[in-house]
Amino acid sequence: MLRYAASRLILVIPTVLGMVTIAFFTLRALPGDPAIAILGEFATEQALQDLRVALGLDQPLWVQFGRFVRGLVAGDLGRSAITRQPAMREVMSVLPPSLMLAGCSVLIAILAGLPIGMVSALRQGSWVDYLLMVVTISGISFPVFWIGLIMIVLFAHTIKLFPAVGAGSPGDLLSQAHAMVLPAIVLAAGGTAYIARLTRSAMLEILRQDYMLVAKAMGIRERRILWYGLRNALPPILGVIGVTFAVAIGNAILVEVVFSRPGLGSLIIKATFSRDYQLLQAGLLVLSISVVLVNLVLDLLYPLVDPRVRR
Amino acid sequence: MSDHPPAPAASRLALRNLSIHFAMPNGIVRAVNDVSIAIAQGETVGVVGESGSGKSVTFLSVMGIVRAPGRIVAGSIELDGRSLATLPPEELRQTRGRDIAMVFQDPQTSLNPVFPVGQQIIDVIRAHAPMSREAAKRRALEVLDLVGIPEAARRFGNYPHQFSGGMRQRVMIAMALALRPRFIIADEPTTALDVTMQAQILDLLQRLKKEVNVGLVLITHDLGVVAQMADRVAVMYAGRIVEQGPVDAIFHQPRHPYTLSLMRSMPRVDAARTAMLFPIGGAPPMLSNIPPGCAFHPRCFLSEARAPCRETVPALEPAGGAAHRSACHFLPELADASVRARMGVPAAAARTGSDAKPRRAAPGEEILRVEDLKVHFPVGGLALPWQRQRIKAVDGVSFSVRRGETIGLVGESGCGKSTLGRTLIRLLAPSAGRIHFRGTDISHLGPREMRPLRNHLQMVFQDPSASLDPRMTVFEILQEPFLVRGMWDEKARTRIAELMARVGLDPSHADRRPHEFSGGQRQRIGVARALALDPELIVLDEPVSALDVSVQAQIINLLQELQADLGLTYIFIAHDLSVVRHISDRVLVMYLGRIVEGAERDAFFAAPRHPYSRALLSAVPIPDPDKERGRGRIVIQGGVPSPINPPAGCHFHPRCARATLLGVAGRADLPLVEAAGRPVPRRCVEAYPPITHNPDTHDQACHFPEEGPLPGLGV
Repeated sequence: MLRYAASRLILVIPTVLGMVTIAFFTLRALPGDPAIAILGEFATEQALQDLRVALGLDQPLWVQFGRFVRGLVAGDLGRSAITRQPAMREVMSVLPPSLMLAGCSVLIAILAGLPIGMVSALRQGSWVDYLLMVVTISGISFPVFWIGLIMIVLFAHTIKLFPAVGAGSPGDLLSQAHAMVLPAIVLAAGGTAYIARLTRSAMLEILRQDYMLVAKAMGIRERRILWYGLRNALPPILGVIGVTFAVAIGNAILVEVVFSRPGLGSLIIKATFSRDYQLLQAGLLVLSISVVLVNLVLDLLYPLVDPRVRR
Repeated sequence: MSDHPPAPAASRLALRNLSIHFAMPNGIVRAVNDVSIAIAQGETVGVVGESGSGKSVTFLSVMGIVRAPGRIVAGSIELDGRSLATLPPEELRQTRGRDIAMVFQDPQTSLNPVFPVGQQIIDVIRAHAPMSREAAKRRALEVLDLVGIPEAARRFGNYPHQFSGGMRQRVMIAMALALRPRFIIADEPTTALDVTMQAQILDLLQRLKKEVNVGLVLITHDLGVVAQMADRVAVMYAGRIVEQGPVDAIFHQPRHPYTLSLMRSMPRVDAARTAMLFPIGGAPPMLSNIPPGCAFHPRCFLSEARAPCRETVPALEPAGGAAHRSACHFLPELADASVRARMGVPAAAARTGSDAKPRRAAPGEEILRVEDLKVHFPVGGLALPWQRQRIKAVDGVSFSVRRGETIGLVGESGCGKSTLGRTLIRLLAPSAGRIHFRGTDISHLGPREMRPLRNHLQMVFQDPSASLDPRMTVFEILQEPFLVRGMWDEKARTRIAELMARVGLDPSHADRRPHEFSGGQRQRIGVARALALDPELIVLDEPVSALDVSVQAQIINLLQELQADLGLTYIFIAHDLSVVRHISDRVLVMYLGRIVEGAERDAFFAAPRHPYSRALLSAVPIPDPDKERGRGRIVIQGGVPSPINPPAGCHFHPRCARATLLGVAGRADLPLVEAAGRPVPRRCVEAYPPITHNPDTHDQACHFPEEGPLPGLGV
């Protein structure tokens, strides 16, 4: 078990390294000049050049990359070109609301997706099954911002149940939770649909297995047989939660914009428009590390639900 | 047995006029038709039939687990005179598992992989008896002990994947026994196991039947298993019982043409080779399209398409003894010696050779020589290269093959026989050693250099439905070898038609896809593909083991004909020693990557030398109840050890009966050591035995090649 954990942990390092490298070079490939973005269209050529030198943008790309990696190892990702604050501190300050949002949506996706998939599988071919599958395919196919807008119209304007914008008053947990409901549900739509469809197909497969027939032949009670099925469906479901989380944190950027919430999403959008490389790099790094860490935790949980991979 | 009627108090499970149909989109599948059979507590009833005979569905219905859309459309299932259909659902649930339990075919899939085995047995117990967890656990341990799980208490919390196949089947049996049922339905309980494991499980069932007095329904396609186990036998064909009676009557005076044909079509491990087998023509019918009248008439040697056979379903009538019944319109003819002679039917189910003699050339010059061949696979992808362990699938094998001969390669699963076969034709690369084909060393040729040789080295795989691309037509499948070699021209086009005719397929079916053929026909396609480029050597990896008995004989005969006509050389890999005895010239026995015995066929089967060969041979059930009763067995214990860390010294020593005997004998000149819980000669543990060459052409790898015969062979 310890070996398993260690081997998984070691694999994290090359994954993160690969991701920051890709992030670094794709950012540099974006059109636009950060100096112009900061100083504006009407800055003098001299001012622009001075700023480029100050930011190190006059150096060849590989030198910039070398500096970036050296800083990364030292834990220093530079300062935001706009606010002059350390980029890492800026990112960390908006990370919690984003993680909360993504985490809540994954939780909702599991709690809703599992039962939907189970019911669908057990009633395979019935109208309930068809209805649920149509609903879930829409959950996957409609863009998340569209669902967000519809939800705002329905539950914030027509029925004034939840606030349409913001994250609640600071320090007031109740109002924060209240403000979280709509965005979390919107963000969960895709994951719920995904987990529901996966649970359905996993359950259909399991229901065909010999051991389910054995349980029935041996007179095991229905409820217990249902547990047998669910328990066997857990490994494949756990396997996709990591993906669901990754998608959720990516979509959180859109949802945060739609609901005007502070968070990593808003920060990344802002930094992109101003070509704030340092801030963007820090944001992408933290984003990717959080996805990798969640997947690592799930990998470590995997042996708990599937005895076959324990050693 | 009929002469030991069960006590009157004994319970009775009876099926009365049972019919089960499946309403499918393309018609009704009539899986079970008017089946009546009764089983008493304390007896074993063997239910025999080929796949699609309805034998499993019949008894799945007793457990209420016929898959949708299967439905009982007529008849009833009665336990002690009460119809199960009239029981309230809760009582029915109680009955299943408590009064009637079931053992399934494949122990890999019939235990729940995510729960410990002990928990699964406790679940069954507590679903029926209001018992504390502790009491249920005690009972579970009791039954695990009863079925021979060593250290049951320690293994209680283990998961199914931590047990070998044979051990898993024991757990399954323990689960079935947990509530002291009166009946156990065992559906092909040993089909997924090696013969040695099969012998252990059958032994266990036999012992349990006596100890716990259950009525056992044994569903199987293997007549040998039935002869060994059953008191009474029912033979099923196309969803009906066509013959039933006491085991001796069924085997010695079969009274249905199907039973008779089935027995004649089987190669036997206990009889010398005959020229050709008597196959049953055609294939078992689809249950959605059962021939009218007697379902067997299109394949029957007696029918000659007479009107009653084509028009009326025959009823089961007494045939011979009172309890012996057969469903044939021409029962008297079957008993009439003159008719039997005219039809070429022997007096009993005794064996004779058919007229068609295989015309075979004497084996010619050496075509293949293998020297100290090793094939090792690294395991553990994340480990550092020097820490990586190796599966020694083939570990030092040498032999040679002459042109035109057939080498039978046998051993339990995991012994490395398939890996060896694939390496011989260079589908796999050897780790060490040499393979010489027609004098050329092919062991390290690259893909480009191998290409011209591949024409001569071909393979036929076990499962024709998996080895043929379902999206290609037969024409495309047979065209592919020519295209790959750049040999496609008009001549090749006619060659495809020839090939199809050659293997007994209708060339006008060339535009059909594999799923439109029966299993036997699909294997014919596989053979045709191997023949396409005029090969010299064909590796046949279990080519008939996925086929029904009646079809198996057709393919074996085809292979023999082709060999005689085309001078082919075969490496025939099989676990079925009866088939190997029929087809091979020489036999090689493999154990954990090495050849432990090699001999001419007749010498081998007359007196196998190596203790492992003897154990293998003694484990094969013989389809003759008399022989089975008079027969002792060397039941080897345990399963095949891991090929990553094979046992030190002779790999076989932990399971070897000869080592055990020598250990018990305690000879002064033999220093002993403790191994696998018993004393064995020290030499067995210290060194791998050298190969000894005997004058009677047996080569074997044993430290004690000259020790006397082991008891209990009886083959």
